[in-house]
Amino acid sequence: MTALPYQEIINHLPVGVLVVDEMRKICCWNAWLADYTSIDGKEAAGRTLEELFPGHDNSRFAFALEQVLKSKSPQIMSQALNRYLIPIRIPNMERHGVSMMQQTVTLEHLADDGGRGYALVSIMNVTENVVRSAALTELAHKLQHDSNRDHLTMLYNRRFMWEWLVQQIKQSNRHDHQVACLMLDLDNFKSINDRYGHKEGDAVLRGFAGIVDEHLRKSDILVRYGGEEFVVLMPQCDIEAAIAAAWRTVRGVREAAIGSLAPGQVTCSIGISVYDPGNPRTGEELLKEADKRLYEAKNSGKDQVVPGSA
Amino acid sequence: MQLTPAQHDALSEIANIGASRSAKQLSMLLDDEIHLSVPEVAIVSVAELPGAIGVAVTDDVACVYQDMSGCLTGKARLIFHTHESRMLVQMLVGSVHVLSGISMQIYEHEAMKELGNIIISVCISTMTDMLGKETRLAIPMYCEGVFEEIIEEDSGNAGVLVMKTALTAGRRGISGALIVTLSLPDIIDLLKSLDNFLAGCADQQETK
Repeated sequence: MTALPYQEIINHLPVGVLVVDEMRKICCWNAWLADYTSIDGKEAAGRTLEELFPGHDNSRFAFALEQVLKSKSPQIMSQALNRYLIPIRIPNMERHGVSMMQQTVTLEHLADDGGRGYALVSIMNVTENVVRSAALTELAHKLQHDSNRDHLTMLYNRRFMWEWLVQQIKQSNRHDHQVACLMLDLDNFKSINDRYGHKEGDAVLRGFAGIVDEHLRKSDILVRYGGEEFVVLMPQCDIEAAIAAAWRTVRGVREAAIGSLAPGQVTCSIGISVYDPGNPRTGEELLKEADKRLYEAKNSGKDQVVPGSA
Repeated sequence: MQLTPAQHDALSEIANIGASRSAKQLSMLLDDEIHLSVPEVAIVSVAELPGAIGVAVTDDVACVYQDMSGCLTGKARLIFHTHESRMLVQMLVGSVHVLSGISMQIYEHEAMKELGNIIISVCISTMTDMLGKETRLAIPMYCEGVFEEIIEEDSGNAGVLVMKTALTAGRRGISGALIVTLSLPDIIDLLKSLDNFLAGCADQQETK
């Protein structure tokens, strides 16, 4: 085989390469490292990383070197757990919230003809991957958040509610507890819209959502079911607690100034149903019963609560 | 293949030293108290492996593995149930948020690979150093899949050295197993080395 210029090859690699001997002294330092650290090979030779980078007290690297040199066992140092090995500032990435080059490091054992051991340390710049991954994760979170929310009120939407309810019914069956369902409807909302306009109507919907939310527990979820209809789902809640919460909500709405409307101008009606694991039914059936009770409340003069049977 | 009580005790002790050293390194790396329980050790056949480590053949598992060469030839694997490996990464990396339905990201795999690398290399080097069996490990790799597919290539091998342990960080515990697949001659050789190690320990005690 042709004798290849290995040093030149190492200097052309798009990764950092250094070799450390058994005394932890550097005996190879390629051009990539020289470019990024402004420390050339001559300056690095015969020194340790701690000497080159004062304050570089990296116990993980020390352990990895020991594993490689003593046990000949290769080691990786991930970016996720270590961020970087060699401190290299990268000013053009600061706008992405990253000021130091993020690195994945691999250490492998080498031996020369005399049997002396060395650690070959390869350093990959993964900063762009990290920044891209963080941006994609943020985007995925935003999409997931948005797909579960109603854009006007920022409450949960129906899509989220059905997913949540299926899980909650399973838990209810497993742990033998009840789940209350409150179906709420703003009274005379059409006339509010007609009289004050859609902009004020939207403000009333947002204000109403805020008032209802104040009367709920942290574990309850409030959903914009559609138009001026809302649903509250209350895990581990029996019929008595649900009725009490519903009346508190009805009174709270009646007594509040919502949007630019005075107290008493906005009221709501609530129908209640309760899921009991002793008498299983589907989520759709639960909602259907609450809806039926809501219309009983509407037909009985509005601004009131009508409970179903547990 | 059955371990004698003395071989079982010696292997347990060696595995425990490896687990303690790994836990110490992981604690330093993560700046958190990581505990690895005293490993339960056994030598089983590939067919007995699922029962030995508490995994069904159809379970989804995450695996970090390193090929071994030298005195012992085979494969060392650290295996977790996939959902537990995700919990583990979240425990270890903290800020990582795994979205439901979105597979683990590359850098989470890297974190798992490093964690596995520490546990595998420390446990294997502790064992091979104490037993005088010079063995080299290859670069760690990560894979996920159904358990039976992951160990499929091992079906021709004679035995598996199992070290089952639980990793605890904070208040949560995650069960995992280090399994070392070896050929029959290597298993016999390993047991011979273990007997020599025990004989050496007995000699040392007598001279004291």
